[in-house]
Amino acid sequence: MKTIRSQQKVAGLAACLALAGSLAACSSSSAGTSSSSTSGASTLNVGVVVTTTGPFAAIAGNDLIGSQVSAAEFNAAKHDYKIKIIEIQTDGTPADTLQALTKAVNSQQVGYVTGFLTSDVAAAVSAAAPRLGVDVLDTLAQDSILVGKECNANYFKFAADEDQYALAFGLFVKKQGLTTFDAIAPDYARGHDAISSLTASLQQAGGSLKKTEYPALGATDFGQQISALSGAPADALYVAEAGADAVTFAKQSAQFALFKKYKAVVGQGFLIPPLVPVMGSAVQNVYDFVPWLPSNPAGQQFVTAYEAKSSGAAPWYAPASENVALQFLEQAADKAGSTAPSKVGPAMAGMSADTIQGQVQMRAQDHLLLQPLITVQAVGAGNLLARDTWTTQQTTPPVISACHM
Amino acid sequence: MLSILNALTLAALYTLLSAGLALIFGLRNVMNFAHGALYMVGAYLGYSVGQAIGFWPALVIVPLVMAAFGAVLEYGLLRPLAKRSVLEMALITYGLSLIIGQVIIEVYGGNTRPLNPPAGLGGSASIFGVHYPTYRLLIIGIGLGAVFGVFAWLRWTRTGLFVRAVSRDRDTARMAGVDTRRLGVLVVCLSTAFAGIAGVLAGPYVAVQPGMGDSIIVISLLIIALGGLGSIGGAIGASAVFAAAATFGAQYLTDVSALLPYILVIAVLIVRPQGLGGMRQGS
Repeated sequence: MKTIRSQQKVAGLAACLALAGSLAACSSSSAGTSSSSTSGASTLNVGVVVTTTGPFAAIAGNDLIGSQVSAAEFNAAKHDYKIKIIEIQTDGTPADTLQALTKAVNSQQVGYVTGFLTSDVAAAVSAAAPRLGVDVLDTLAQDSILVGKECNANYFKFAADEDQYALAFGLFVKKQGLTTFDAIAPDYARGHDAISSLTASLQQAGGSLKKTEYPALGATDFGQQISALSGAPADALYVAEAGADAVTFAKQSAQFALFKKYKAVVGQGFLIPPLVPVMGSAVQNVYDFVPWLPSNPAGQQFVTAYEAKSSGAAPWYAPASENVALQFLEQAADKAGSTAPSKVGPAMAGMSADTIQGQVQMRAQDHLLLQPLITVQAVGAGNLLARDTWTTQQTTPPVISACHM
Repeated sequence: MLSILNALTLAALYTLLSAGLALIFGLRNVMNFAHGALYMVGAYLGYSVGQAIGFWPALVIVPLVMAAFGAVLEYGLLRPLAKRSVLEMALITYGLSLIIGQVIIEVYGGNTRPLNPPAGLGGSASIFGVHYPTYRLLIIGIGLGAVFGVFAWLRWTRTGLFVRAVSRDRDTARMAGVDTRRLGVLVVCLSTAFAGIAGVLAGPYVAVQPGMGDSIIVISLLIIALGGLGSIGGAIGASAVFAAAATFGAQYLTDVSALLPYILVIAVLIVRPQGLGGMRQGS
């Protein structure tokens, strides 16, 4: 009897551990306990978050390489302050990231945080940033809420925002003459926000959304979603799956020949360049939008340095965004005459710079980087070809009125 | 029909993983948190062997290599730590999974690896009037084969009889003369071999990347809790129930489909704490 009770406890423990593990990925958490941070007098201490597990582990290290080669580039140039890159390894959950960041702030005087911040992690880090005394240089998360009602003075969005993507998407849809869409997006904040943006874009373009599927983040099987989408497909399919989930979805869609049932398949964050060769022929002719391509003539020094450090692999837009973010940081520190986030942040707001993306500006009202976007199409063995370029004027959304710094 | 086939595909993959996990818990009293990492190793080895000599040889070679790794695991870790509690072993194997993950990253790098279905299995076939991907039919076939193989082994062989005896009551089985140490090696090897088969099969089906074992181990643990710890039949049945909940939930209860399998596990464990198949009674 005692043994059975003990086994029942073990069953409960196993279930609890497993549930805790599964729910950790979608939980938000309270921030750490540290109250302040200071950067070193002559260095800009930048913590780069690297996710070591989960669906994004395969590409999370790319941001670290991007920041390292960018720091080396800017440190070699004539600036008042040097950038020091500090790697912060996490499991990709908000709780673990905040814990690791708090530790880095206290023990290594990290004053700025960037790297692989997914939407839920970015939201948690942004909320904790004022209390930790750090500035967030977000090069990945697309949620507009972070420059909307949850904006704050310590958060700077270098990644293209979903409202910017929505504007480019609307122009693309009009040009292609697509009116009805089906959609698939992960069942967490980014996925739902992406579908909200898609719906708004389609309404503006006179189109409509027919079916939407929300598979779980990290799903092993998309069979049921693919089956649901296959019945009476719309003109086009919108895919907001990203990372390893995107690869799994692409592989399984190819087995069901799903993409062939649509006139066009359009992604948002679906064709992450390092994963496109892995997807191979499964994503042939699929469209997506990117803020930068390695073929950009302004970025050749960065591309060469990145390739030398990554066994020849070309950088994609997230590592490139690290280059832009660190350039802004360096120039803002020069302008402020300080490495302190409390002085560098205000100097960065409203600043313009000639970067590897061309001339871009950090909008003062909401800290959104105003930048151009490019429509790309997957062709051949994992190549992305530029099809259309949408200028900064075309992709600049209005400031969200809910944002109060 | 499509939904049933989708559920069967998922159930086949879950069965291969959870049956191995249930075996090792039933016989060695180890909640093996490294099982997801072993599945990942199987997928990466499948990628390497598949690239070198093809998918079909990989499907044979990788389970054998993983079985050999199981022997190393048994003699190098599980046996020396046999007297540790279940919780301690869970933490130790969790640590092992982190080490394995880092080794894979060192050897293969962090990037996702491409692995396509073997020639002839990239298309679809008509089954009961439904066009269904041939590769998925292979997964279903191997999953069903594994179920019947395990059933036959447990039901009709002398070793299977011993396994059932030890799973039910280890002390009594030992007193009756069953060599549990020898049986333990066999079961650990079988468990890791199953993880290897699942890994190779998953290669053309999911993204082969260092994090691929993380979500599957959570699901596998839930399945063996649902099936009844240590109950191999329970694990197989729970795999089918879990896969059906995930598949039909996605079709009919879309708003809660991601949570439905977890709600199901909680509900079953409240109503029937010993799980669907009942727990073993030995320790």
